[in-house]
Formats: sequence, C-alpha cells, structure tokens
Amino acid sequence: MAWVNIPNLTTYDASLGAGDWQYDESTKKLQHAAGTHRTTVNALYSALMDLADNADFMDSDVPMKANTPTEYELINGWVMNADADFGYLKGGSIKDNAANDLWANFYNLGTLKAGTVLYIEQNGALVTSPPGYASGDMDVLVKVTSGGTAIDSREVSFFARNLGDTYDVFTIAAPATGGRNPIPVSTATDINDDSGTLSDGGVTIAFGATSQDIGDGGGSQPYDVIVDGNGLSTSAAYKALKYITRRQNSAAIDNPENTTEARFYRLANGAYPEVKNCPFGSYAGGKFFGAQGVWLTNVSDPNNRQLIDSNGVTRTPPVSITATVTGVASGDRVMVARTSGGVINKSQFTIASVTTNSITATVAPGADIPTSHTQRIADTIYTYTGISGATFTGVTPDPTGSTGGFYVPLIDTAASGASVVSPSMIYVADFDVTVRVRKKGIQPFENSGTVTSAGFTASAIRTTDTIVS
Amino acid sequence: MIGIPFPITQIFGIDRGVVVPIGSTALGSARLPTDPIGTQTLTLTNLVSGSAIRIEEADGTLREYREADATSEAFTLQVYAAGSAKNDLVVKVRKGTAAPKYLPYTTYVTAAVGAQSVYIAQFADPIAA
Repeated sequence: MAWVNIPNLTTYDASLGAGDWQYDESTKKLQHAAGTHRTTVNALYSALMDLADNADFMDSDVPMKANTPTEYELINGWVMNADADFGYLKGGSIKDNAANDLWANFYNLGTLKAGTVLYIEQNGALVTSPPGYASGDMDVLVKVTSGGTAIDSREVSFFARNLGDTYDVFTIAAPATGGRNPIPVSTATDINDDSGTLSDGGVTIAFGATSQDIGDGGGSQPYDVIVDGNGLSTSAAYKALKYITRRQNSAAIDNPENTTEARFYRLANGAYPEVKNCPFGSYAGGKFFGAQGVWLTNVSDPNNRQLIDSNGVTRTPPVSITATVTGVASGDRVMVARTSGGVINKSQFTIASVTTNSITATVAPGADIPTSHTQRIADTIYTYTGISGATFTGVTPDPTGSTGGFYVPLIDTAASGASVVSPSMIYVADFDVTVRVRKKGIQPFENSGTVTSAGFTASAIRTTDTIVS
Repeated sequence: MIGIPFPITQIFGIDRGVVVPIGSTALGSARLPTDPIGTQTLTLTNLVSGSAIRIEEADGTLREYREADATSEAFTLQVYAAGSAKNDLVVKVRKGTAAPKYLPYTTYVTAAVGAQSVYIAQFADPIAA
C-alpha cells in the first residue's frame, strides 16, 4: 500500500485540489500532500467518512470521529504523518489518540487594522504561523498536549505588535477536549506612534528592584524596572518602548536579568494589571502612564509622567506653578497674597524662634511655599534663601526679636516691566489670593482669585487717578 | 458413518467420524476442521438503505459485501464446527457518502447453523458535511 488521494475532497471544500490530502491504509497515516489551501477539519472528516464506506476501504478502520462540530479525534491507530500537516487545517480541534496529542483550534475575534500581523506565543516560544499566513485574521491548530502532558497548561497567546498601531495581546487556555477557542484581539492606528521611530533612541531597560522618589511627598517607593529615557521626551520614550517590544524583536528584554523575548514581554510582575497597548506604559493626552512597577526617568518632560509603584499606588510628579500679574507698569507695587475669608492672612505662620538669620515656624511650610522668596513680619519685608524643615534660612535683615505671625506673599515687589511673575512653587491644593497693584497716579487696583494647578494669572487695570496731586 | 462396503475397500461419505477398516484397506473423504458444517441465514434489519455492508471474519477475511437497497438484507453464510474462529464475524455498516449520512456501525455475531436476525442501530451523523 502507498499514499492514495482521499477521494471527493473537492466535494467538501471546492478550494482543495484533488490530491491535497492523502491516506495510507497500511500505515494508517494521513498527510497533506500538495497545494496551499488550508481546509477545515470538518471537510477532512467529511471526506474521510465519504471514503470509509467505499467498498475497497470497508476492510479498514475508520480514521476519524467527530465529538462535536469543532472537536474531532483520530482513532483506531490513525495518525498524521507529520505535525506540519496540522498547519493545513483550521476550524476545529483534533485529538491524536495514538500519540496522545491534542491540537486545539484558536482563532481571533475583533477588528484588526489592515496589515496587522498576528503571532502566537506558547510557553515562551514562537509558534510557527500557518502556511501562507502573511497578515490579518488567523485560524490555527496548536498542539497543546504532547504525549498526554499539557504544554503550559494548554495556554497560548495571540500578539499583535506592529509599529504605528496599538498593541494587543490575549491569552487563553484550551479545554481538555481541545475545542475551537476565540481570542479577542483588536488593533488600530496609534495616534501617539507615527512609526517613524525606527530605533530604541538609546532608551535602556534595567530590571531589578529599585527604590525611587517621584517627589510627590511620599518619599521613595519600590519599582521593578528602570526605564532610562536617555533625555528623550516622554512621547519619544513611549515610541522607543514600542519599538523595543515590537513583534520582530526576539532579543531578551534585559539579558540576563529578564530573558523574556522582547516581543513576548508583557508585565514586570505577573500579579500586576497588564497594559496591553504597550507593555511598559501607555501614552495619552501628552502624558506617559506607566505600567505598574515601571520607573521612567531621564526624560525631558518629567512632569508628563504618571507612574504606578510596585505597591500599585499611582505616583504623579509635583506640578510646578507660578502666579503672574500682567498689565502693570514699571514702578507699580504689586502684591499677591493668600487670603482667609477674603482678607490677607498675615498669620500664615507663627514664629516659634528666630536667630540672626533664620526664622523657625511652629509648623513646616508646605511644598507650595517657594524655597527662596520674601516674607513679611508685620510690615517688614525679609528675604530668605532656603527652607529646612520648619526653618526659613538665610533670612535678611536680622529678624532677632521678632514674634507673632508672618506670611509669605506670592508676589511682593515693585514691577520692573509689564508683568510680574512669582517664584515657582509646587501645587498642593487650590487656595484664594488677593491681588493688589498700587502706585501714586493710578487708582489702586485690587482683585481676588484662586490659584489652581494651572497657576494664577491676573490682569491689572491701571486707571489714572485724576484727583491726586 | 455412511459407506459402501466392498470386500477390500470402503469409501467414506463426507461426514466426519470414526474410520472402521473393513478388509485390508479403507478409503474415505472426511471434513476438515476448516470445512463448513452447514449454513446460516443472517438477516440484518433496520438498515438505512444505501448503506455499505461488509461481513468479515475476525482476521479481516471478507465473507460478504453488499450495498443495502432495503431496510433488511439477508445473507447466507457458511458455518464451521463449533469453536472455529471462522464463526466469529464482524458486521460493518457505513454510510458516509450520500446524504443522509450515518455514523459507522460495527457489531459482532457468532455464526450458527440456522437463522439469525441482527438489529442494526445506525445513528445519523449530523456533523459530516
């Protein structure tokens, strides 16, 4: 006996060639012999059942049985000639009872951008794509049990990682019966990735526990991986990270600390939530949103980061704000000061002690107090050059003997141009202020407002005082 | 023993039995263990018309092949001495080419002289295209 064409193949799949599939009664083998068309398991099954009642085949055992329309078995000692033969099948699973192998069927659902190339990972290795696959939807049989032993718990993952598009990945475990398993994967144009970044831009990735402080007042926090942005913007770093984790990159993500192939890298820790559209973090609205445990550093716009430490706590860099008064003229006296109940709060702080060049308050000033500026004790203006705990240092003139309350105006100076800008400070919470612009010859200007995370801007109105002489 | 006695020779019939010499020579023909001892009329009932039927011995030797054209088919089969493996028959019934299609059905019978009826319980195959 030798290989014989399975008759009537084209009855069950008109795209098949008459000699695409063959059988050998003596060895009880099936094989894909010719052609490139991938047919359904049901078509093969139907053709074999058609063959089975032929007079000359009645002395042979039936090769296959169907448990459900999507679950089939090779029976009575029949086998495929080679694993590669399964590549030409789709639409259902096959259990090879002789070898005790299980070939489960997987296919993708969802909308794929034209040209999307899917690829499959199983147990850390790339699964060969079906014959003839170039891009688009995939329907494939994957061996999930070999010799009776499940491979990676019968799990496989479909990846879609094409530069310029959003990334996606989904993992599913086939049931013990194989079955036909849908995998939701979708891709679209990534408006934050023009795919023009065809290099890693010098961005480096270093796995290993690390402790970092983003400056949000929470102190150092644990992270799992440091991404060094090499001075790039967060936007460019995002594109570089996508480039590193693209489907073509089979190199280890950080050899030897993490030998996962970059194209398969998904998480810093399996217990963390996954960011599917880019494994190190997403990018939206001009901001990089890091995946849990990812510390992105050395970027040109560090304020455009929102990270999540290993504990799952979102960490946001402090926001630097200023107060600005416009519409003034050189020589105008300008003050912007915090208010309480609409009145300037002149007891923002209370003096605990003083030295010849320092003032210690009863409570430490918050982050929204400039680290060097001016302060007022009663009507005397002092300057300071630093803050250490609750102590204003570098204070001049000598504050010795001062007691009581004092405050730190945002602006307390004479304008030297058309606008006055306060020193920068860290936004903590909204607060109310009063704006005053005064100069003999104009009517005093006063207004109120609120300092927000966007800072504060007031435009003064200079109305000539026609009465003052 | 059925024989025609001759003074010096006896010719035996086809039945097996003890050979009794008469005179100085005995000639005879007797059945071998592999010779049939009779026939059986095996009737398969409840068949799906159009089914292929193959009756074979346990070693695969073909005894009968037929395509059913009715719901009942009768076969005349030779029967062998009790205990012969040739009496152990496999009945295969398949219908997978023309719709409606049925799952392969296999049953086993032991041939015995006389008549025997076997009920064939074919189940439809809703999966084959």
